[in-house]
Parts: sequence; C-alpha cells; structure tokens
Amino acid sequence: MDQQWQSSIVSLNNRRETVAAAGGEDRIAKQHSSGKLTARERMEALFDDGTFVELNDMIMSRSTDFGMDKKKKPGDGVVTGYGYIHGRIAFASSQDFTIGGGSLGEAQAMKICRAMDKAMEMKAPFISINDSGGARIEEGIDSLTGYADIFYRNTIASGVIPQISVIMGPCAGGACYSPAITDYIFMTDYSQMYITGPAVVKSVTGEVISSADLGGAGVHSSTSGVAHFVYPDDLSCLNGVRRLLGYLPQSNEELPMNVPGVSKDDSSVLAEIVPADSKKSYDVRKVIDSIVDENSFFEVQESFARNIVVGFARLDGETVGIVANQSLYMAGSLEINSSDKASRFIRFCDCFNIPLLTLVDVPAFLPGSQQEHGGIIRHGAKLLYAYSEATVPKVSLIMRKAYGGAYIAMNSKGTGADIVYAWPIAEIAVMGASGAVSIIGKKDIEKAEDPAAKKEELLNAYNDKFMNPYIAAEHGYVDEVILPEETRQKISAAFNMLKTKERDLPYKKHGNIPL
Amino acid sequence: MELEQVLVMAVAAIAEENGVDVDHVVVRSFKEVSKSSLEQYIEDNKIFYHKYQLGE
Repeated sequence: MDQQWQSSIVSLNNRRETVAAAGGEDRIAKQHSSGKLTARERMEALFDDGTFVELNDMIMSRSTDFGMDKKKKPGDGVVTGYGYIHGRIAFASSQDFTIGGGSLGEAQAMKICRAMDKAMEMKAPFISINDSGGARIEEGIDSLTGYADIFYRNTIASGVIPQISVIMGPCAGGACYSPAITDYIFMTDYSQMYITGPAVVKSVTGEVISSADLGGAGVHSSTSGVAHFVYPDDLSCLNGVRRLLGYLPQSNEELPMNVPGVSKDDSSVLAEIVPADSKKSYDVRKVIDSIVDENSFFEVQESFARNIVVGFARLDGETVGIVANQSLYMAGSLEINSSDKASRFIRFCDCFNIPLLTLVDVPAFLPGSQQEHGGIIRHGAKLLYAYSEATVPKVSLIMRKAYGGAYIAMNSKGTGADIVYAWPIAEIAVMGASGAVSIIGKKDIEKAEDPAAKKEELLNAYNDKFMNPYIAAEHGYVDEVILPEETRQKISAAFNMLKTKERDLPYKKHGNIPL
Repeated sequence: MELEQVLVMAVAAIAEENGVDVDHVVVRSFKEVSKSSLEQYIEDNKIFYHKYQLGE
C-alpha cells in the first residue's frame, strides 16, 4: 500500500471517528444520565443485531448564518439508514439530540427524506425516532420547508408502507405533525409532544402548566389519544416497535407473515367469562385471549377510549385486527373517542390487508348534549364509513347486546360483514326491552288497571319476540347462531374461507370520510 | 481472561465446528471486537434487556 493510500485511509478513519463522536462525550453522558440512549444506540436496539447500515453519515449543513459555520457537525443531527427487523428490511431515522439538540435544518430534512424515499421504493416500513428541539432557527425558512418535505412524504406513503413514529424526547411545534400523519406513535415516559410549549402557553393564555401535564406520554395516551403506545424507557419502547412490526406486512402489496405460535382453543371458558345477564360487565380482553393464539393479543391505545378495545392478534399464526366493545367502561357504548379510535384502526387494517374480527356487545351510542354538541353524528359516521369501505375479510361475533344504530355500526351484515355469528344469549334489537316498552307500550300502560302488571306483560312479550338472535338469523343478518365453545373453531374456519376474498370498490380518487 | 486463552478457546471452537483437528487451524490474524456503545451502556447500568424476537 503506497503512502497516498495510507494517508487517505487515515483521513477517512478520522472523519469516521468525528461522525461516531456525535455531539461529544459530555453531551452523550448527559443524554445517558437523563435515561436516554444516543441516536445510534437506538438504531442498534431497533434493528436485528448487527444489521443496521448507516446512510449519508457525513452530510453537513450548508448554512453559515448566526455562527452555524462553527457549530455544524457531520450527520447534521440525525442518523438514517436501513437494517432488518425479524429478518425483513426496514428504514429508519433517529434524531441525535447531542448535536444541536437534534434541531431540524435543511440537510437533516433532506437526509430523512432520502431514507423515506428509499423505504417507499423498497416497499418497506419506515420508523422515525424523534428527539429534537424543533426547527433550526439559524436556517430559517429552509428548516420549515424541510418539515413540509417530510409531511408530504408521510402523506404520500400513508397506506402504502407502515410508518411508525417513536417520541423519545421533545417533539414540539410543527414537528408534531409528522408523527401525527404516521400510523402509530410510540412515546417514552419522559417524552413530550405539543404544538406550543408551557412557556408560550403561559405568555399567551396565562395558564401555568408543566410539560408533562401539557404534552406528556400520560396525557397523550389517555386523554388526547395522540399516542398509541407508551413505555417507560427507550429499550422497552423499541422492543414494542419490533413487536408491532411482527404483525404487519412490509407494504400494502403484501400480506402479514404467518407466525406459528401456540394455537389454543379456550372457547369452553367463554360462557364463564361473559354473564348472560346483559347488565353485568366483564373484561372483553379475557374473551379475546380465550379465542386467539396464546399471548398473541397486542392492544393498541389501551388507555384511551377504554369503552372499545382494539389491537392485533394471531389466529393459527395469521394476523387479525380485533375491535371489541368493552362493557367495563360506559357499558361498552360508543361515543366520540371510541368511534375515532376504532375507525382509524379499521382503516389501518384495511390498508395493510389485515382481516378484522369484531366482538359485539354494545347497548347504544352514548346519549347526551355533550356527545351531540361534540359531534357524535360526525364521529360515529366514521365508524360506519370505515367498516363499509373496508374490503378485507370481516367477521363479527355478536356476544350479547347489539342495539340500534350501534349494532349497525359494529360491522353488521348490512355494512358489509362477510360472516356474522351470534351466541344464543345475543340480543339484537332496536333498543333494550325497558326503553322499547316505555315507548311502544306507553298508552297501554297508562290505560291499564294495573300499569305495573301491564308493563311486565309487555316486557316479557318484547323479550320473547326480540331479545334473541333468532329473528336476525331468520332474516339472514346472522349467518349462524353458535355455542360459545364453538367460537374459535367457527371464527378460524371463516377467516380460512375468506383468505381469497376479492372485493373491489368503484374507481375514485379517494372517498370523503366525515373527518 | 488473558488474550492467549481467548484465542485458544476460539481456535478450539472453530476446529470443532469444522470437524478438524486443532493442529490444522492456523491463526493468520485476528481483531478484537469491542463492545458496542449500547452493550456497554446496558452493562454499566446493570439493565436487564432482551431484544424482542418474533413469536415471543
């Protein structure tokens, strides 16, 4: 090797060391002392061991304004590249808080966009790890345009490749809108997301509020519904991302992987879990766990709109999306937040060829001025729209109550369910007996010599006539009334039969879902 | 552990895996692979960590 080769290699190694040093030992120590990993450590934890390949590691900001010529570092505050997750390729970006607080400038945005473009070309998932103070002020409008470039790509990639955002530090201002457009948002306990931070809130409105109370993981997972998953630290959070990706296909052109697990059938316990008395509540997650492969249920947004449960599971190793009314909260009624939560989940499953299983036990849309004024008509319509539009295999099981508009909204036959099963305790009617009798029997009860006896008589007649699954079965709205112990076997057989389902929608640019 | 001991163990493992006698394995060069930054962080902080694998 001649001297020129040697000096070139030394030069390259020096540059590589500079890149690897990121923001310097002090800043890395500070990152670690606050319980956070560095950008490259996060990549190592995200991808299968030894598979991460970095791209554009020496990219630099072109800006020289406001001292940027002295501050800028190679990599420009973000690590991007590709690797393998469960042996399948994926692309990712990871903002480096040790370099300029991870602030986003022109070069950082270009670097992220290039990785996103490659993910689209390769039809592979894109994971964006956010840990940034926001736009790089020194780069002015170029920073803002950089965000726009990312938002545009997020939108174009929506429904084509799975996009996952992971918030592991601050994510403020316009930066929030990239995660908001992506499919799933993971947050760590110490991360925050807000459009305007506590200082601005105080100066504009006078409200004094902490970062955590304004936009912490707790708020976004339970109140706003912005976050889908929350974990205590970086490592557990990135394991969560790995778990989620295991349920998903690489793109809308593929099917999810079959992951053989323990195919168990605990349907025999279902009659013990679900009380026949429709006024008694139970945890629908126990029903789900009894039907799907062992330990395969992965709940999404578990702390938000708890009156509906959504998540991924496996049946005979195949991914299914599950939507289930949760009688433990609001008796499982539908309202604004649960409608939004379920609709978005259904549309995600439909984008990525994931069959839907709906477990129905719903008394009604929640009544009241708060709901009406909050737009329950508009929000509830999303659920009807999402189910009607979805062309993936759709199977429903009516467990107990299925009343009125809420029955229709929960993947009923009329909105395109492929197979509807019902248990013999199912009550499929316009409304519950008490409410119905008070309306249709009002005059008879008032005129009766013994109103209480008359009411009882009418209640019994209504119960006998309507509070069962057989009229719906006779009219073809229920395909089969099944025993609880037959549940898994019937559902599994239905999804097997539906594997080759093809249903095309008429051509359109896109529908106009009531947002 | 001394470097020589590590090398002896590595040679023995290579020989066993390839079904050859240890005498037939010649070490021409070797490179020490240091722990990654993440591995070091996990060790320093005594964190129990297992990377999630599909099907768990």
